[in-house]
Parts: sequence; C-alpha cells; structure tokens
Amino acid sequence: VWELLMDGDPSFTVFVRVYTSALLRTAYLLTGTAVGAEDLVQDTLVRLYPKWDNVEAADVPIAYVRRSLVNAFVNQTRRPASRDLVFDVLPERADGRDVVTQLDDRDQIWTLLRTLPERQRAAVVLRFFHDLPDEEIGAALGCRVGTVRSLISRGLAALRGRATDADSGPAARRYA
Amino acid sequence: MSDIETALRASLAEHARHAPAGATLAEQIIAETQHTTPVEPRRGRQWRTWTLPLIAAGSVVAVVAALAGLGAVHHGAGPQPAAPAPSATPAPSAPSAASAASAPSTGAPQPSSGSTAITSTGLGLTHFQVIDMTFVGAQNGWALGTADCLDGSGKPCAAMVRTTDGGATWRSMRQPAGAGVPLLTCTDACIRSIRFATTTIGYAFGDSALFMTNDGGATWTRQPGGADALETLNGNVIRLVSDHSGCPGPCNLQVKLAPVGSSTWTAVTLPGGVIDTGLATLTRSGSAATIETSAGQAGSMHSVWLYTSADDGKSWTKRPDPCTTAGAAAVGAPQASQSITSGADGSISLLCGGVNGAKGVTVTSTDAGATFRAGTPFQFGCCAVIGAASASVLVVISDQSERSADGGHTWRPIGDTALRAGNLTFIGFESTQVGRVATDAGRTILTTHDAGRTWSAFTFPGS
Repeated sequence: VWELLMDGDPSFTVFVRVYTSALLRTAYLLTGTAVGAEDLVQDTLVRLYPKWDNVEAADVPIAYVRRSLVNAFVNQTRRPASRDLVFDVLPERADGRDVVTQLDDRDQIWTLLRTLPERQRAAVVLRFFHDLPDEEIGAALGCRVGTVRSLISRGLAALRGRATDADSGPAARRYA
Repeated sequence: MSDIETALRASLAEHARHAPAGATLAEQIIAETQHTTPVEPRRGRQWRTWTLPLIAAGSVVAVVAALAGLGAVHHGAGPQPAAPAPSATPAPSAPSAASAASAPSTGAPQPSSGSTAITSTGLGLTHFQVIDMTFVGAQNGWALGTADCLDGSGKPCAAMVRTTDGGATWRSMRQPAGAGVPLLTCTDACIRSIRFATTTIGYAFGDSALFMTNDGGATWTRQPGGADALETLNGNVIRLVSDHSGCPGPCNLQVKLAPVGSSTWTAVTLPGGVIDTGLATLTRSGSAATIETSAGQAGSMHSVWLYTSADDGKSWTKRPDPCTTAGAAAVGAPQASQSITSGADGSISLLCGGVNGAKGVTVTSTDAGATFRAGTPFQFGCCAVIGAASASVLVVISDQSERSADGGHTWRPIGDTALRAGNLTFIGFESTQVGRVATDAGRTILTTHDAGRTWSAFTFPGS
C-alpha cells in the first residue's frame, strides 16, 4: 500500500487521508475521548510533517507514526493537567441508580481501562487491539521487552482486580 | 486466552468503532501543513514545553499601541489567498486599567500608507514581532504579530503564526478573510488579540470585531460585535463587550458568556449597573475571573474597581481597588493600581504604584479577591508590570526587573538584561513554573521553566 501511496503523490497528504481514521481509533482507545483523540492525532501528524522524510524511510511508515502517536500520548499525559477542558458530551453524574449493573463486560472493561496508568494502557491497547508483539510495543514505548510484559501483566491484573471490586462493591467503587 | 483478555479484545474492538471519523480531520491537518510556511527559529534553542496559558488577561495597552502604530498593510503569509490578515495572542499579564499611560512601549513598526494585499511567496516570515500569544496544551500555540510584508517592500504587515511543537518551529497561517488588520488605525475589523480554546476552536478579536474558527484557522467566521477582552477556560468563554461611541473608553461594559465554539452569547449583569470605563482588563485562572475597570481618568486611584467571579463568570462581586486599601496601608502613602495578573494557582496579584515617587507594593489575594495581603514596599523601576506564577512567586518587570518568592516581601534582581519593561509586549505565566515574556518589541520570547529564576531566549528570524 505504501508503495502505491508513494507513486507520484505527495506522501504526507496521501498518508493523512488514508491513515487518519486508523490513527484516530488508536488514539480514541488511548485517550477515551473524541476530542482527545483528534488532538493527539493532529499533534502527532503535524509534528512529524517537518521531518516526513523519516517516516518515508521507515520500513513500515504507519508503525512509525503510530509509535510517535503513542509516545506523544504517554509524554503528553505526564505533563500537568490541561486547564482547558472541553467535553463533547456532558459527563454523567453518579446518581445512585444501579447503572453499573446495566453495563455489559465490554463497557465495564472500557471504563476500567481508563483508570490504568498511561504506559500500561498504551501497552494493553497495542497488544490487544493491534496484536503487536512485545518487541514492537517496546519500540513504541521506548522500553525493553521485559518491561512490556510487566506492563501488560500488571495492566491485566489491575483490570481483573478492579472488575472484581466493581462486581462486589457499591456502584461508586467502579468509577473510583 | 483468559476471560479478561477475551473481554478486553472485544471491548477495544467495540469502542474503536466509536472513534471520530477521520475525513474532516485529515483535511484540516493537510490544510494546516500545506497552507503554511515554516518559520525556523534563528537560534538553535528549543522550546521544552509550552503549557496552557493559565493567566487570562485583557488587552495590553502596548499591543493596542503597536497595532495603532502600524500601517494599513496586510500580510497574507503562506500559500493562501491574498487577503487581509490579523494576528493572535496568548494570555498575558496586563497593565492595569488605571495605568494605561505608563504601559510599556512596544517599539512598533513605523506606519506605512496604503493597503497592500500580499500573496504568498513561499518564503518564511522575517522580522516577526509578537503582539499576543495563546496556547492550548503543551505543543499548540498561536501568536499574533507583525512581520515584513512578503512583497519585499520592507513594510510591516500583520501576521499570524502557529506552532505545533511547543515553539520549536512556527508557521504562518491563514487569517480571517475580509478582516483587515488595520495597522495604522484600528478600524471596523481591527483585530488585536487571539485566543484558542482547543486546537480547532479559536477567536481573533478587537474592540469592534470578533472572528471565530472551528477548524484550526482554515476558515474564520465573523461574529456580531467585538470584544474588548475575551478569555476561554473550562469549556466556556467570557467576553467583555461595550460600545465605543459617546465616551472616551468602553461604554456600557457588559459581560457575555458562551460555551466554547458557540455563537450564542448570554449576557451576565455586573453589579452596579451601567459601567462606563476608561479601560477594562480581564484575567482568568481556573474558575476565577477578574475584571478591573477604571471608571474615571486613567491613573486616578479612586476610579478602579475589581469585579471578581469564582464560577467562570456566572456571578460577579464588585470590590474596591485593593491598592487604595491594603496597598496604601502597607506603604503609608497613596497607591494606584498599575498592573494586574492571575497566578496559576488562582491567585490575583496587583502591582500598586506609588504616587509622586513613593515606593510601590504588590498585593495578592488567594480568596478570589475577598481579601488582599500586601508585600513589603519597594522602589520599583519605571513602567513596571507584574507577572505571577503563584501567590508566592511574583515577577515585576521594569527597567530593573525583580523576582520575589515570598509573596512580595523580599525581591531579588533578575539578571537577564532583556527583561525590561520598555521593550516588553507580553508577560504571562502558564503554570507555577512556566512563564513567558515577549520582549525586544516582540522580537524575542523569553521563557522560564523554573518560575522565573532563569530565562531562555528565542528570537524570530530576521530580527
């Protein structure tokens, strides 16, 4: 696909049109919000634009860009919280009703996923959404294979533990 | 495969379908990169972080003066249609409404006659000078300023640039079509400030014009009226509007609120009825907002009032000028508000100037303006303006710039000689650590990442 994209077309423009949706899916799973996903993708691509030669030279350009996106996500969330918060939907209020029990497992895990630390969340997304091997996840996160396995293991353990807590505790505990 | 892994895969696959569609964003990204011209920094220094502007401030008088002093020449930077171009801004500390006469000068470009629409040459901007800046997040920033017209005439044109890498590189960007940026005089569509709420939603405004973009500046839509000041935080926008006919300053000052990106504004009543003021300054930090007005002649210390809000502008409390109360009590001599700012911690700080050569003093509130605590009287230099990283860390920039780490009780000189109010166009702290000063008439941006102890310089090409 990449060879075709490079055939006579401005690579950046074509790449953006082809891969933005895919990158948005990854970014959405990482950030959990549409606004956050769009910001992350836009920031990543615009930042890469001045050095697009590096992307073109990569064996798998989309992997290179995804790696940058994950790096941007991890680094971005390390910084102090943003002052401007914009919601595309109103946050739900906990009103004491038994809403949690209406969630199926997928919704519950989605909620719990967002409680994981950023690097754990990124590792889990890259493994269980993109099915990347440890080596590629390590390259994306800038860490060793052993660290990747540890991140995923701890992430799964946390999800499992919190899911158990949520099943046995009051509704509010699921969102703590 | 465990149950949790199976459920996790299913959950991720399911929720990935809820990700936003990419077509519109892709075109925005392409437009942003393809329709702009890179502006490389002259020096090799890199911005390390740009964080959100925490300080919301009103218009800097020097900015107005700079724009007013520029010729009516439009700058169409980058590969964009020849069109008048305004510029944008961050959140500076603002000279007090009462101290307009002593506001820092800007060394503005000389006026030029006529109006020239410039088409893109593909060259980078030269001699860019910052008038105002705004940042959303650590990487995305926009600056309003002037630069050499692209026709090679050497005349100054209004220009808008943006960075997506924390300020390491800047690109010229599209400005509101039809919104000439009057450089010699502020006419109907004069734009002198810029604010962005998100990477896509932004506002460019002046007293009589307000433009909004919902696509990162690719297109701008003019809104009714103008804005004396506008600040966006917490998903909403506070806008000060007034009419400018029949009195020297903003007449019938009103506060309007809108959700970010909305063109529907709701008026909020300020206590005290109709407010005719010489100048109005708006600052925000968190949910706290402060309006400072000068209801009489500039410099008159009894004419200043503060309106404070702790709920993002929904309700306001009118308060007397703390310089005439806490400030004067500390100095033992009359004081007049000279500059106001908000700290990243929500504090409000004012620089009070002594009358007839008396010492000045800083006053700071940590309870949304209910009470103010004065520092130790100090002989500040000429034309001082204040920036606040927090209630404790204050920076006063004048011809002898000083820093206090104890709320204004002790002051130590800042070594960087570039930090002089005479050439300053902007000062603002984005967090308790990161602050920025546009100095040398906006040619150089000084940034601190250690609450004002040390500063690093970035100079635009051609300066």
